[in-house]
Amino acid sequence: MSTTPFEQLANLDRRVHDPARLAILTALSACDRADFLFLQRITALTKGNLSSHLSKLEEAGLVEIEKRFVGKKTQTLVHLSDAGRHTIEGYWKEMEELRESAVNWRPNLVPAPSAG
Amino acid sequence: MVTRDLDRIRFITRHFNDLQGLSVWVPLGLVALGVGAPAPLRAVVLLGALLLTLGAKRYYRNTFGEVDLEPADSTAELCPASIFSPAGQSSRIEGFRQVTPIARHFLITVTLALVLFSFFQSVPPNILIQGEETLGQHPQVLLEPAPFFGPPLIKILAGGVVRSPSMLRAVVAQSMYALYGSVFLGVWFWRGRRWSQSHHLVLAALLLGLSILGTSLAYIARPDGMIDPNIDLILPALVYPGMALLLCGSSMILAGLVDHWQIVRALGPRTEEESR
Repeated sequence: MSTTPFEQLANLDRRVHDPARLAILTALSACDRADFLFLQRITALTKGNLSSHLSKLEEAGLVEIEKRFVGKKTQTLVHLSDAGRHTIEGYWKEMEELRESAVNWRPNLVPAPSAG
Repeated sequence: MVTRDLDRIRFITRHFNDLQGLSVWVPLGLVALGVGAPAPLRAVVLLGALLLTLGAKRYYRNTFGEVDLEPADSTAELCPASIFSPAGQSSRIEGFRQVTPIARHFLITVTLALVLFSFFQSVPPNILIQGEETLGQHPQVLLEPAPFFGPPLIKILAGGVVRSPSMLRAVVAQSMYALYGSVFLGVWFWRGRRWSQSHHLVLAALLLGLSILGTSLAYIARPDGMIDPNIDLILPALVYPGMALLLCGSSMILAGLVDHWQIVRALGPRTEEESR
């Protein structure tokens, strides 16, 4: 069954499509794992925002978070789960399909009934 | 969030460790400078390079965080997404694809450059270079065949041709340009031939150009040994290993500083909130 680009857009995974979460997942997809400070730097999010988004991604099972002590400081390490890697790859495929269907899409215009 | 941002995020993350110019390229450049420096200064420069490596690693870790790349994943790269791109149809998202591993980039580039270099070394007629680098003498090219000397065994191993020490030093200098130029070229390929990484391409072109120019001296020089004044001006750089080390080391330091500037620009200065 063919769907319009608008329907495809509406069906995109909202857990990933959010700009901040997309940035986090994109960064994590390019490495094995990254620490909290790096993610904060690369996404330019505040600590609170980043924590909040990471919690949502962790709840969704897309990322795994581990904490370890480095000296007297706690270091938070984040990496994509298998599901997360699968999800972000699937998201990019959907986006590509959406791009193609948006290029090929033509409005189905019904001619207006003539007056009189 | 546009594709350019995501592409930048992906690139910086993937190359975060090797973009740390102060901990990789600058110390390597200092080592190159140190090797060519006088003995008392050499130890100081080499020690400085070691301390800089350690200090810079700590600085990058504390300022920008840490990224671990798995060996297997370090070759994986997501193609640029085009969905938000004004160019739209020009590029396509193909999911994860394997790109050429780093070893392939470096080894192929370096091997190819050195093979070509050896070929170009063997083709032109032999020349003799007069002048002593340590005495600050300007070199002079003589189009006479270099005298054959050395033990017979060396002569056989060298394929019947034994070059003069001055010519050997010139070959060493030109080999260094070929090697360093190839490394820069390999880095440029490895980093996806991006416009932002073109400083590596420029340095590669410069050093490989010097290498080619050096190997072509026999063709450039007139029968009386005179060469174009512009080339004569840079002749010491073409035939003296010390000058070659200076240029190669400076190139590495320059590349490292540009890399460092890029990482600082991409990840921004430390904010007050992070310092707390």
